[in-house]
Amino acid sequence: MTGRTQQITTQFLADRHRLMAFIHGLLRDPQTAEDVFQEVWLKLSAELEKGAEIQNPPAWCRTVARNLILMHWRSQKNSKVVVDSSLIEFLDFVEQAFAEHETVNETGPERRAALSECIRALPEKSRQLIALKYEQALPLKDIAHTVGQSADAVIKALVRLRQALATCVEKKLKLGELGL
Amino acid sequence: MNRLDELIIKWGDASLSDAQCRELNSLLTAPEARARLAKEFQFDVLAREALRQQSAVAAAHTTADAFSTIDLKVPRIGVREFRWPELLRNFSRSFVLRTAFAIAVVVLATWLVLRPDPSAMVLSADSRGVTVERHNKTLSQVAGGFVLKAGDRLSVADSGAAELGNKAQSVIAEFTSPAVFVLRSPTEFLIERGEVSVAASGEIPLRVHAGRTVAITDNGAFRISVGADAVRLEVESGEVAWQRLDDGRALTVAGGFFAIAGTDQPFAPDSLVPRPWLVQDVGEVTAPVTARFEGDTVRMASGPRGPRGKFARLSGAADGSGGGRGRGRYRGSGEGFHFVYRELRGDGEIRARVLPQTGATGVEAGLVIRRDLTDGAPTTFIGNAPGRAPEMRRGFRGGRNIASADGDSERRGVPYWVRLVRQGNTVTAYRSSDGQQWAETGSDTVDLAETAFAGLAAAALADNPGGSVAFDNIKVTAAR
Repeated sequence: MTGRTQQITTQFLADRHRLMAFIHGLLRDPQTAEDVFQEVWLKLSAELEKGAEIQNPPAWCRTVARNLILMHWRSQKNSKVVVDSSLIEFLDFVEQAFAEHETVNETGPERRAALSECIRALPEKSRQLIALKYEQALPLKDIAHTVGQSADAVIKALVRLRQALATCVEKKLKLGELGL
Repeated sequence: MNRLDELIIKWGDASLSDAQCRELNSLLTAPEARARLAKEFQFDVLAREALRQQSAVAAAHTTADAFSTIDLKVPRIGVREFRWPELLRNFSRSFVLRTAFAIAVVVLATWLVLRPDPSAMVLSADSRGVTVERHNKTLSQVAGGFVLKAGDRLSVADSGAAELGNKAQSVIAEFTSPAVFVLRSPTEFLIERGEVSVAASGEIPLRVHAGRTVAITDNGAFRISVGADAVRLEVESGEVAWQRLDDGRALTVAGGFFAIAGTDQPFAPDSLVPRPWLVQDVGEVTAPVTARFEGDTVRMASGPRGPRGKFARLSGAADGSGGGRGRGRYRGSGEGFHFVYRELRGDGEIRARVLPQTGATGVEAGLVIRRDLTDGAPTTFIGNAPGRAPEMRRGFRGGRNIASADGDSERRGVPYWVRLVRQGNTVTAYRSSDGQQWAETGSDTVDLAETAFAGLAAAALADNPGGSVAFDNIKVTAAR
């Protein structure tokens, strides 16, 4: 393995959660997102094996992922995803968002540990809501049915919870930096 | 920012409406909104992993508790003595081994002789005007059945055409004259100039070098043309990884998209149809139909099923008269058709002139307004097949006939105009001989959403199709 290949592989592994966030955020299905992620890695490996020069590996991976996602959407003829101009525009915005914040990695292990602690500290009802949304990946209407609220109320509660968790994580990370 | 958060959550729930998607896009024009979106997407993954980790830790504790109570019973491990089969015990061990070795050699030699030669590609019977250079010798005017080997350089004359297939039939290449091509191996070509249509389906990826680019695919059907200062790649189906050798940039071009590698050209895939038009198959379409924009004309061509019945050729001949290899046969069920369409919001209309069909068997084609793109969605169609008068139908194929026009001129293949006008859930069909004077064909009530889809539809007629239809003067007008 050449130095450059090793460097790109290390960078890919370090950035894998960001790439997964890009793919999962667009596909919204963990299993399909895993498949696309694997496919991107295989293509990157093949390119590296051939000795190809890849100037900006994260951007290259996102472009490959974007094309695979588009292909997946187009192959889902009976799904609700209609690949129209507004969806393509959204895809462009997401790609731009990740490109603009290339250096911001909010998926590191310290952050994950902090988030885990913050979730554990939530009241029982809030923890249940977070578990239904992110662990069981239930649709909003099913969550609303389970917790006995309207879908709009669930959305508002999730927005508030996400903001509260983000603040909690930042605080914990700061305290960690200060060694407290 | 709360509205943005709500829309992002709805997107994640797949419950975002078209209008909300547009609203989300308008919010995302702001840089801080995009930053928020990137953070939210990362939060989703982080939260999922944090919860998964918590569950895994909890499960590990449970397993450890259960494990401490298990009474482990380890079976006695023994070694069974090897025993020769009864029949072989009469022969010495060395004789048995020598005989087995001899049989293996014979089997291997037979396989080597009889296996398909992987290093060869064969010119098809339709090839003409082809010259091959091998070891600095020129073999003029080689005919169909000629076996090309690695290192051969093939030239197709101005009026010639060449079609190549490897013995495993996993790669087929067609050259539009004039073209020059070097066979490096059955899975690697070099296109020096001209245009080639390639279909590949094999375990070993096919590599096509063209200009300063290389296209790689194991499941793609594509056309690549080498010009003086640019290389163009059009992908009909599957996907093709394409790399520019000068700067190492790579992209994946999917079916229905094209890309250009050239100076001062963006190296990115783009749709083969100009926006706001989109294209896709609706329902079960197994006989391929391709749509090509030629200025203001849209030509939709179906391809005949080839003898190999495996691959789809990229496009029709230069005159658009179809051609190509079907990937299967039209099964005659459902309403499958190829649809070139755009959104129609609220009331409005679509009109077009239908030009006479060409090709052996023709296609069934016309205008469509439908609720959505799912199979069996409410649809109004007006159009015809060759030799038949235009019909207005509920559904593209197999739908209830609403009205038939008295269309002698259409039967004779004279250009005619058709038009569908939507007012609420009522769609009225018209036809005309000149685009000025319109006669109403019929009217129907269709369950349409506020945003419907209007466009041009075409499907192959038979299980060995090969025809094309063209539309011009296409106009989609919304009432407001």
